[in-house]
Amino acid sequence: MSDLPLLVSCERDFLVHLVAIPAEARVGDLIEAAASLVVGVHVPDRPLSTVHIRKIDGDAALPIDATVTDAGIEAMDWVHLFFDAAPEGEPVQ
Amino acid sequence: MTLLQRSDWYDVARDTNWTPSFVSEADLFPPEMSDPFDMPKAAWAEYDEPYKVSYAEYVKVQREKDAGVYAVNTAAARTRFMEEAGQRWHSILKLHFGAVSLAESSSQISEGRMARFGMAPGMRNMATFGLLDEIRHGQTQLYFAHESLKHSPQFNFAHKLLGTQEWGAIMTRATLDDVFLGRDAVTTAIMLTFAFETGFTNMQFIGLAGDAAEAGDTSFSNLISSIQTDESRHAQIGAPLLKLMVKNGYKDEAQKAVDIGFWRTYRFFALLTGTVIDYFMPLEKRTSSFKEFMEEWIVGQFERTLLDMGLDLPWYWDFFLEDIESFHHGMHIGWWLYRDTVWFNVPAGVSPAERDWLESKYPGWNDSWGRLWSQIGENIRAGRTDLTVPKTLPVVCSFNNLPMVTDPSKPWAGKDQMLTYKGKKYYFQSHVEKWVFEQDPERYAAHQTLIDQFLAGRIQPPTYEGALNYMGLSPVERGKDAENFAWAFAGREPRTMAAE
Amino acid sequence: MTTASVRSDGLSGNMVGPVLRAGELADAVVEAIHRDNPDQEVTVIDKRAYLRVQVLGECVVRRATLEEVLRRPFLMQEIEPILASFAGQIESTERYVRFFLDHRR
Ligand SMILES: [Fe+2]
Ligand SMILES: [Fe+2]
Repeated sequence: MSDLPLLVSCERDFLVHLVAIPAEARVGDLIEAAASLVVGVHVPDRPLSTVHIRKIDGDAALPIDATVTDAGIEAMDWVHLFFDAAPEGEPVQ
Repeated sequence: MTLLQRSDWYDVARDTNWTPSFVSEADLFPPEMSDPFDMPKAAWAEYDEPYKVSYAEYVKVQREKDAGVYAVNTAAARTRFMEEAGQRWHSILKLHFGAVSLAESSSQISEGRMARFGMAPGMRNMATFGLLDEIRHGQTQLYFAHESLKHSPQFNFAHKLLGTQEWGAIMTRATLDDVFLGRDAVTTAIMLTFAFETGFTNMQFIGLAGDAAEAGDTSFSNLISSIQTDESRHAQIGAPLLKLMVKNGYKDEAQKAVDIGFWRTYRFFALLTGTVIDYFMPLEKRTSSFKEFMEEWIVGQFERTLLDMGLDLPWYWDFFLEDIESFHHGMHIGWWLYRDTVWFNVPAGVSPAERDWLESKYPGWNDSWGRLWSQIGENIRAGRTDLTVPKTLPVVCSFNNLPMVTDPSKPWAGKDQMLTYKGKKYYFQSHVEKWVFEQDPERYAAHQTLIDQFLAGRIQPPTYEGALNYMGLSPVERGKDAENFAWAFAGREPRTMAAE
Repeated sequence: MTTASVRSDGLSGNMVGPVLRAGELADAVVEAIHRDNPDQEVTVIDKRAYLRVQVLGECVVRRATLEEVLRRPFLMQEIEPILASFAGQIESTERYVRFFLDHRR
């Protein structure tokens, strides 16, 4: 199976990254690959366990153990990383 | 012998509209090249160019202008200035000449189209001079860039850029094609001469001339402000046309052309002028912020003229006024991160003093864009400059070809930024780009952005390095940090400099 | 929707006039504008490389006046090399150049 090209943005970041991921990869793998472009790079470092992913036009976090295909992600979809709310209640993008 | 005054003969001499007998009117002026709205002859007869010139006057005045441009500095003084000017100023010049020289040259085609297919003799006259003007603009700027080659091979991009697949080149070609190379004479007159030339070129050619004078670059200041005196004349091709369109019931058509042309032009100049004015310019030489220039030239001068033509503000005006606070900041951090992909060395422009300036001009900057730069600065100080080099391409807007960006303290607009057309997904910088696309999807749908080209497998190997080669950038031409990361250490001791 | 935006410089949206490349001729044009618009307040904003001249509603500059100021013959077209831009609409003739608005607000 060939790689799925995806659009990935991230809370507190400013742009959309083009990320290719194998269709059989898990959502957790996608989070890891995507976060490596932003977390500790453009935004402060934080544990991966506090990073989640959703479709840009949806609210629900995608299940990390599902494959990206089973999570309903198709080629050239736009997904968005978001963080556990900060204790002091920083604005969430 | 007394010579006639111009006004004694001009109206008779310019009246070159006659009834064709060898070909039909429609063959002589095909609607798709001349006037797609098929406005009545009586309406066209009202066209009266407000800035009249005879050929003899034109030649005399242009000769004087050119003499002024070339005489200002001796070659020796110019060389001395360039040697002392510093990387930041060199970058401004490289960016300007790359983005502008051949773009202006190409607008000969637009002027030529109006000169041949304009329905009013006055329009054809003005456009003929406009065409000659654009030859001058291409030539003088290439000359200055060529003279600078001894300072850096990157100046070669004045000539090279538009023939490459560099992302800025793709963006520039797409913009020029849409706004002024691929349009009929009427639409060209509105989008190019009105939206582009009476609006935005003022900022790059007069606003920047002010900054150039402050920076001591008299030659460049003089060169670009001299060019703008030509623009100022031939930009008047659009005004009489807009007036007759409004008067004769074609306001909606005129308004739509302004709305489309203005937006596309805005993006181009936000990238080009916005980043230069607010980040590239040495702090002590800045005269105004980009936002202040926009308020002077666009919100003040252009907006007022637009209303005086009998047109309305574009429907997205409120959004536009918000957007000028943020979009170009995203373009600038994009330049810097993807500095490998451009033909000039990119200054970060975010030393502590510069951050204070940015915060004062754009309240809230520190908490949005500033946070990104803080993280980047920290990585550099930790010796992790590798983290400042991108691992993948940014997704660009399907319409304007620029990386899609948002103010980091604000959410993306999601649904308003996307659509599916004939099975393909399109993503847009904003709902305005999406609106323009929807006005004529067939015009835009087949365009291949850099991302489309990548996904089609044209970039081999399909890696970041492969993309750099695809963009035509040899290792010596690729941009670096203009100050070798010194900004990240400014005001901090001990100063350990990373090397790039 | 035709409401003009709020101007941060506090100037009236009805100001018209030339933007001149700085130099001797620009100074002469400014002087001529003072003489040719006697009942109007003339504001000059100096941006070093250029001067923005502002007059409310209408601004005229005449060839004859420029000849007086410069003490030499002057053709109206000689203004073009320094006329970088302008606010308002333009009417350019052999005897004068005029900046104006059709609709005052
Ligand atoms: Fe030009
Ligand atoms: Fe032009």
